[in-house]
Amino acid sequence: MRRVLLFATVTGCAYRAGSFGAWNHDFAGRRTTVGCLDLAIERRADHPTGQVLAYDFGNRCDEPLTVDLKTASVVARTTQDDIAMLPYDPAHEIRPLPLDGGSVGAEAIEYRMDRAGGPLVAICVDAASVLGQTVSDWQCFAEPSQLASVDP
Amino acid sequence: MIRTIVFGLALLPSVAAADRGAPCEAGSCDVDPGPRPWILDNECQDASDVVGYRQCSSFGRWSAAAAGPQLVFAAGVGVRHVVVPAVPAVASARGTTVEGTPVSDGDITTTVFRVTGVERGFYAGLEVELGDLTGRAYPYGSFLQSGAVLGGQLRLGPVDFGSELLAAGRSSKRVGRNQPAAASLAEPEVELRARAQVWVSAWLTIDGALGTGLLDRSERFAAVTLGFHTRSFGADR
Repeated sequence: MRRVLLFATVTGCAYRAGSFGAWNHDFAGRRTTVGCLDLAIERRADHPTGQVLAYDFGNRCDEPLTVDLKTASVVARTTQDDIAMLPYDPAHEIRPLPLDGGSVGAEAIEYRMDRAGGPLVAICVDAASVLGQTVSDWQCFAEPSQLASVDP
Repeated sequence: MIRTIVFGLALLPSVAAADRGAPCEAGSCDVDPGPRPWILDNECQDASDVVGYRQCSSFGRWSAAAAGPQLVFAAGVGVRHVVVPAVPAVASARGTTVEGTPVSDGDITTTVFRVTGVERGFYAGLEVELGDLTGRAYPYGSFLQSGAVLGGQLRLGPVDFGSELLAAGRSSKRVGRNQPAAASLAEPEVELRARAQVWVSAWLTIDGALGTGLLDRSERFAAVTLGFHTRSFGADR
């Protein structure tokens, strides 16, 4: 991280809108844009205790924005019904945080179902909820690192 | 000046590392063997980067810059038209006397350093200005001015326009020709300035300033500085 900051300082580089990449890596996963946020979401290999979503994001605007991964809407689609998923956050770290203009960030979060349900078909995340927007942008992932065509 | 800025930037990682205490208590630590002089501490590596499973870094490090204040570190070159009152005759410790020197009236080149904090379009900070009086009204001499600035700015496109007030103390030390003793003079300075800064990247601006003295209207000041901002685009662009 410090090397990234130093490089960015010296060269003056900032995240470019729509590039979906930082200076040293491309965003992994399905790409979407919500307001000023370019967001890539990838479903990683499942943990024994839950499913993992990785977020790569960049602020495509010059103004700061608030990234709220705590209240992001994530649901598990099972063969029976949809079940809300909660982030695994034993230290209660996850909270809304500001992201400066032209800056990037990344987080990976394990989600666990709120209650028991049937076999999992897909997990879906409302990308718009990361910015607290009312218009939904559901992204569903049937398998780790694969794109799904199902809708919640 | 450029060497000073580069040196300062190179120190930033080590300063940041010093603030973090012991970063490798929980995770594994590997000494970075690469020839990278700007990395002065060990790096902590987690087996997982998933929240709740990693221990080297907490959630939201990407927001660290946004959580801090908006500070601007600037350094550059100034030109000052100084009018320094005459130095009265003084006696040195060796018993020699420095003769009263005439009023200094001329342009000198100075080096300017500033640190300011910005909040909601207003800023305040400290400024130091160093100059050399040698070759002007005095055979040898130095100029030091330090003080506080208070101002406001307004953004129009890629440029911030502002005005500020400087309240400073000034010390001029002069040595006459063939005189072994130095004469010092301290005086206040109040200056009104107009400023403009152009954003050349997310964190860098080129700043220009023009000022005039309020205690002595014949005093004038101009400077060009390079500003490094801790928040990208000043956070409110």
